[in-house]
Amino acid sequence: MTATKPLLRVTGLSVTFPSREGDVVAVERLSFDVFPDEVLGIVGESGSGKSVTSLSILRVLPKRSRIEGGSIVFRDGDAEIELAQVSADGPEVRAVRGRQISMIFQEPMSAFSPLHTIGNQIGEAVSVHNLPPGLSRSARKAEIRRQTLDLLRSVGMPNPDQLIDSYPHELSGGMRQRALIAMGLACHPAILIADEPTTALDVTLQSQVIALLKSLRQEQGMSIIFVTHDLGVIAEIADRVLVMYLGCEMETAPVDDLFHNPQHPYTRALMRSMPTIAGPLGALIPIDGMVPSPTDLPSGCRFQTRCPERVVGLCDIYEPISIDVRPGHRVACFVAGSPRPEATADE
Amino acid sequence: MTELLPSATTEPPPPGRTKQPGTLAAASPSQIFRWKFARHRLAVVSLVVLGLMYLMAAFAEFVAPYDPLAIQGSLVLAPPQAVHFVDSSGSFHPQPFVYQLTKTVDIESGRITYYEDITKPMSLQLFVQGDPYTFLWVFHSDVHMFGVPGGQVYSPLGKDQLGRDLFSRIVFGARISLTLGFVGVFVGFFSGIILGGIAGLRGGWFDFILIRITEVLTSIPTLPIWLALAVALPQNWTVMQTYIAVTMILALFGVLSGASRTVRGKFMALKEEGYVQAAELDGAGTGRIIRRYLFPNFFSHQIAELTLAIPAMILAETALSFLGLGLQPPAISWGVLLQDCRAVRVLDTAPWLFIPAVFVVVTVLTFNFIGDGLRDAADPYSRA
Amino acid sequence: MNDTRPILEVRDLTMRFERVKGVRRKVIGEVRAVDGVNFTLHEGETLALVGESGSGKTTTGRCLVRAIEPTGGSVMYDDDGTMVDVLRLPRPELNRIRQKIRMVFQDPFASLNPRMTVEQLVAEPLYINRVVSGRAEARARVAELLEMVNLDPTLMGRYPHTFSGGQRQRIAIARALSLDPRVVIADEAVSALDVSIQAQILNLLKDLQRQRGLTYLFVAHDLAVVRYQSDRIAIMYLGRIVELSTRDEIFTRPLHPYTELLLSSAPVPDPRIKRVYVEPIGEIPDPANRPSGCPFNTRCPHSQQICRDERPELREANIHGDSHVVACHLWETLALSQHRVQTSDES
Repeated sequence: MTATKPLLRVTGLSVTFPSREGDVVAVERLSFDVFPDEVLGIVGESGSGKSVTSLSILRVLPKRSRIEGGSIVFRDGDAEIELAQVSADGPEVRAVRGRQISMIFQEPMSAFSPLHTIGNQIGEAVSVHNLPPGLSRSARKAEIRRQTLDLLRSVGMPNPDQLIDSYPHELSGGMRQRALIAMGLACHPAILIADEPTTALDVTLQSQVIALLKSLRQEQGMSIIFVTHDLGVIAEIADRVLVMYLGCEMETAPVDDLFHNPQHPYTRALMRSMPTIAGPLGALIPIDGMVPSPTDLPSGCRFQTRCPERVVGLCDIYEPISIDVRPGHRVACFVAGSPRPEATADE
Repeated sequence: MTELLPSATTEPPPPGRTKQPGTLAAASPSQIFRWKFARHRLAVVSLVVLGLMYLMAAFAEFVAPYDPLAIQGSLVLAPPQAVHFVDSSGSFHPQPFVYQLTKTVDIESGRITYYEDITKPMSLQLFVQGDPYTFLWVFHSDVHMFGVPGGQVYSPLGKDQLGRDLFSRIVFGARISLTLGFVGVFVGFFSGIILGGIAGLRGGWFDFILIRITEVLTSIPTLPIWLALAVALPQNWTVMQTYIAVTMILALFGVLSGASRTVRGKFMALKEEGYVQAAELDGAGTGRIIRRYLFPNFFSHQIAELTLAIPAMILAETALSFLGLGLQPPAISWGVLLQDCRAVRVLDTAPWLFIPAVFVVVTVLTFNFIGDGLRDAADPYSRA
Repeated sequence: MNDTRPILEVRDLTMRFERVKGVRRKVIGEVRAVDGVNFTLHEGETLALVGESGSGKTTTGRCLVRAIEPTGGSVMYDDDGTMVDVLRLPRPELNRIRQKIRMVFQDPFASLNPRMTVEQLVAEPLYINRVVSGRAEARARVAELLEMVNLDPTLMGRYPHTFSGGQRQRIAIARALSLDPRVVIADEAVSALDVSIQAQILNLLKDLQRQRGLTYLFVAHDLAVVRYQSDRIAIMYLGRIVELSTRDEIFTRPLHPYTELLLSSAPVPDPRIKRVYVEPIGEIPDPANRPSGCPFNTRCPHSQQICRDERPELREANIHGDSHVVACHLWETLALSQHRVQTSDES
């Protein structure tokens, strides 16, 4: 990419969870950037670590997990705020969480309290961050309500004046998802992290939500980190894509490059195995085998046990590191060009 | 520049045939259950402690140093005696000993005070000859686990106002206190499964009536019910008969107000499970579904419930007997022993008489911890 | 395909729930999950039932074998030459038919009893229906079945939780095939699987169909999957079939506005394809509050008065020779093919 400085820079992030069978490495030495005004899609199947990555940024991982290493740096103007090396409840993270970086999740029903109206809940987010000081009590209430209504309108809620006083269970699924997005946008964040926000939705609703996110992004000039397993959705919304497998980066590329010139065997295999509604109707070529258990990771490259282009003696012993194969297009694969280990004495 | 990570060379499985299972353990759910339980330290310790208590109760005649009914007039209201290893001259004896007690009586207040007579040490030994007894109706013996030889008396945990040995009475009392819970709960367990199972699986009017009954029973305060029952039981019944009647009634109450509801709830949830529907489509009848699909899946849960119901029964019996509504002397249970504590004065004059309460507390706690461990082990989603 | 014999004929299938309130169980409303569904399943074909939530597709599938008891209609099954109505059969007969029409469920984790080994699970139908005379025979049969679904038979002593989602689904398929059925109802059988595994199972299902002459009823919400897997497709909305035709017809010449909506909403994994996006109006209505007339009229961009007044029946619209039925008053005038997805390569 160019000389634009990234809004968020993740370097060497590693996250583990303890489990009965040993430590589970959910994410290992992951690095990526998020630039202003872009949508970065993080795509992967189950066990890829994509959700863990998104949760790590705002430090909302479950208690038993550990960030083993790496840094997450958020750039706020000229200041750089480190998020990974500090305490999860510390002032740095809390200043950023919900303010400059906010998050929306897959299941809106569990993000809302059933006991409060959505106006109440969105209003709370507004009141914590957005109010000018020195207002009287009634002026505060009026201002909160005004801003909440604005937010609801901006996410396309019909009848915001009525729905603002509804409870989450009174709303339909789509309305709830919009309300959730409204809550995420309450503070006009610089980055919105969307963790599988459309996975549980019907396809017609999904396309509405995606269209909404796209238009909001343009209006507000924010960046979005969009985590999903659905490559179709990624093609719709992402500008750049990070492909993950078993906790590691496989490939990062601008979206057109990724779909039309995929370099990593995993990406290529994934695209061959996906049914599509348009395009030639060939046979589906599945990826053989299954995702290894995260407690029993393969040696060498994470994908080598299932890789059709695997080079024995190389891929099963050494782990490739990411390398730029074209501008802005990184791959971690020996076959795709990652530097091979230098000839050693025992060769 | 190129930072490489050589890892150990392993032979990756050939792609194509899916050979390996997804996760490590090939263990059965029962094995996993046992593993998880074993990791719950408190539960395992409690299991050991409880096991020892039941052994103690089983071999009461042997464990107790004295006959629980034997009156030792010379030691009326004697306090517990300290066990010594170092004698008055300061020398260490590996074999522990106690001193004989002498007493003085204050004529005016009637207060008895005991002193250790350091000139009369009695060694504490294992496998001592003492009061004879009959074990299991056939075995005659007079060997006791520990005591002082030569027919002398000593007071391990104190004596009551009739001079009977408290420790021996506690040991014998364990027999009733620790087993009474079981009988009732097993009756409750099985009737609970049957009643709750039918209600959960079939629903309909049976379910409706059962729920109404449990609602009524849970809303009645228990103590007045017990009082009423105690009065209603015929006075001329033997100890055994009263014992059985009390347990059955308590058990039935427990069942109808609690256990059947849990079972019903669990069955109602389980029958919606995908695998139950799949079994129905395979052609499985109701009996097979209950046997192979429903029962095994809530069994561990029920075991946990069981271990939590037993202490409730023990406490109930203790309370009733304490109040004089359950068992009466000469029957011995911890509740009966606690009858001696009804006067507050006892706290002052003979506080050791409260020790049976400690045993009750320990028993209840151990059952609770075991229940916790079992519940955690049974829950397939709990993190080990 | 149309000249092979019908193996299942569904007429006017209806499944109504009544909403009751209070102790006296007063009826306050009605939900028609399935509202008069008609279709014919031909031997050897794959018919897909496609729809979003509330479409009734899953309920329809379950009604066919009376996993849910429908409230009306008939399901005629070709029992060795005679057509019998599955809905009117007494239990022993029903059990016999259920050997021939089997289901594979969506959730590979919930559909296998965690307390039974794979051997026991796959052998259950054999024991229950007295197809085998002893354990040895059962084990041999189980081994055969596991081989058929590409699972290592030596694993039959293990419990389901030790297997991955894809493998469990294979176990479920093996179990479904154990009684040599003629029809398999796949109830969202691949929806819960990762994309790369999904392809494995889809290919497996295709192979099995070829080898054993199976007929499939494929209940799904994903049009892309259905494109690879079906001969004919029925689009369902709010309990009714709104369009039914061959796969090619549905994808290239859809006639119903809802089909058009589904096609344009499905994300395409190619960033160069710009969809002609038709923003759907509103969301799927609550099935308890069905719109009058055509169920889709509240969201249809072409809705007219007749659509609100009168419910359209499925009509023949055979323009290109293959049977193509559609339930829309306006199908002839709409000429929807003009609004289709613009792709770079049209078939």
